[in-house]
Amino acid sequence: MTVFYLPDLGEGLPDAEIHEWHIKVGDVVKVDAPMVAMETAKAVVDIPVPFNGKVVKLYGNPGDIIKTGAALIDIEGDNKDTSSTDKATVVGNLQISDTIVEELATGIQPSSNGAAPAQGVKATPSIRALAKKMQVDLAHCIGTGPAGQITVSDLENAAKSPTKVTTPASPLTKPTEDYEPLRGVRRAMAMAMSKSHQTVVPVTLVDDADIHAWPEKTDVSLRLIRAIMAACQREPRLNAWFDETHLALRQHPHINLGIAMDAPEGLFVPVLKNVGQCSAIDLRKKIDEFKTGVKNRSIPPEDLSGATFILSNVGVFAGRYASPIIIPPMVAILAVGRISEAVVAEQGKPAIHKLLPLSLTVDHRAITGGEAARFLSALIRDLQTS
Amino acid sequence: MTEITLIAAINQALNYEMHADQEVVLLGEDIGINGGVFRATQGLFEKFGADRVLDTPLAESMIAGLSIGMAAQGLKPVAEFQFMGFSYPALDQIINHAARFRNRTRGRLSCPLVFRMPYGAGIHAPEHHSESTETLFAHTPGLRVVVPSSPARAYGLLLAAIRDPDPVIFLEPTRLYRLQKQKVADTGEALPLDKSFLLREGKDITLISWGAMLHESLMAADSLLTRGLSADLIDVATLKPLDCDTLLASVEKTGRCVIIHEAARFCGVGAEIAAQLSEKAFLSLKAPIQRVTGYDVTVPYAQLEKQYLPSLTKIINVIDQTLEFT
Repeated sequence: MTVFYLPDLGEGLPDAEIHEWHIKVGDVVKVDAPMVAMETAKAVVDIPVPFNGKVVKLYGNPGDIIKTGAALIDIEGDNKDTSSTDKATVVGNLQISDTIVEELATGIQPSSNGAAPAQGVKATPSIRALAKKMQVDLAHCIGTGPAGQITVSDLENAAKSPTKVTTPASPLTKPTEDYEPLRGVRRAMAMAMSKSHQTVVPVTLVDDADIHAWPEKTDVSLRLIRAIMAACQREPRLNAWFDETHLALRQHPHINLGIAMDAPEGLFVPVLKNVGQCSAIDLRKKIDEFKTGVKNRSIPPEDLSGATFILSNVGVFAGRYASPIIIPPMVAILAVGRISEAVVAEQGKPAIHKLLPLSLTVDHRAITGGEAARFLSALIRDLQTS
Repeated sequence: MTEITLIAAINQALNYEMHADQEVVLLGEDIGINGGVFRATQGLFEKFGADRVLDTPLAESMIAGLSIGMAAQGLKPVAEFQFMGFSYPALDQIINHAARFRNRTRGRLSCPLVFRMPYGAGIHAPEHHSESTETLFAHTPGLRVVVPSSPARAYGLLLAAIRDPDPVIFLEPTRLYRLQKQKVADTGEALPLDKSFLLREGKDITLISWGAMLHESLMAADSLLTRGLSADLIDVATLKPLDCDTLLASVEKTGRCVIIHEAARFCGVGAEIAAQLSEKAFLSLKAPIQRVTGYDVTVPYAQLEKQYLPSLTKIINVIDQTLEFT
């Protein structure tokens, strides 16, 4: 009998939810046949049968969350090792394999002695418990006790200071019974948004583009993509990733444009890769594919990662301006509101034009106000041409 | 430099040192003509002859006593017990004599010998063949206890064990004998006998293990990466004397520690490590030090072996419990 463990499904997330089993206990299964559909943060991924055999046990039912690396299924298989002439032992059965050991270089060299790395917080368990109760982050305490350990009065001092930080509950602990845990896409959204709120310093700039000059039946999405490309050319620092640990910025030569899409399951952001290389027809086709993909949950994981800039169309239902939230490591996001007619001054006289409301959020840690304003100005200039 | 298995590395180290040092003598049951129960000494009888590769009667107490006599008089015997469970008849010789020679003679005589013992479960063997009772030896003053967990460490540590002037219990994880390969340079370079080895470097938790359980512990450490977490993974390698400095530096960095061993839980070496770390790293700990171990029962037969041994799932569950402390 061999246990098959849930592999990483390619998104670096800690777990996946069982969506549907295609097989049941007792089935005789063939390698590569469909086995189970797993729901990850953004997609439903099919895992095939790993080897021939008979299903002995399933480690969960649809709806259960399985941790990456945890047991998924037991299959009694015919994957017994082919016995060589010398069984290499007279007792027992040695497993033979050509797997190469992969270790750090220190696995062969002894670890260096003495020089201990930078030490963290020094506190007894009772102080740690008290800090949790008082909602004080020990990292912000200065230890005045023996050997720099944190004392009760250090905690009290820290509690009075404005740097008091509430520690969020670990996502590994379980909620109480009357709460429904968020799953899949919603869970990913909650985590991404918390992270953004904890780290990004957002500043939002709003303005309108006068789109009076547009011909009938202009494709709004395509015009926006074109304008974003023009604006990125003017201010390339907005098409970048920010590494907050090292305070470093990585500018991208191409624009991978994430398109925020709403679905009953939550927020999806499929990515148009290298929009500068795509024709208008390709882009429209890809966007339509994403729309169907979001509905069927069939967008492959590789189409859901790697965005360098996000476009969010909030105005489909209502809303003119927004304060869109940046998803790290990106540094900017553009939200587009509902198009409306308004009276504008045209050569000293009132006229009725269509206006497209724009809201640009940038991460002020990486982007200056001037850069944001110049980006928005280049965007509007491109949108206002016919 | 070729990639070889752990058992081949043992053979290579024995071969190297027998060439280099005429005082090195091998003895044990079926190690000569047959090449040993796991073929660790294959080819050495043919190369070095019956004077240096001795087939002994089935009498472990005698193998130990004979080795002690040879060692006290200047030879460097490397004796094989076919399985760790067969060493018990020799405990009197090992504990009462080998471990005490230096102390008893006030340093006049030492006992430069190595007792090699295949050990551990997971190969579907019968009773007495799956023992992991390293605690018996680690608890005995005067013995070094060494456990390699990769071909390169098996080579370097066995050479060091043979060259060491005191008795060394050298435990070879049978499950790893042919499970994986590694590049090993046959240069005769020994590894230190008082150091632990860092196999993975991380920041969130320290995983400590030795022997065959490193196999699952490595998988556990790597699975953390997919969750945005990372672990220091340390192969203790020499259980006695313990390289507490390396363990301590890591735990002071991460604040969390899980120890994984297949030996029974009660008084396992993990308990000693946990005790030392809680004394010395008390102020850095964010969570209780936890152990994933075998159970306090005789190691079961093949069918229940998997239930007995710490599995990847069990290790990950305990890691998760440790990470829940904020």
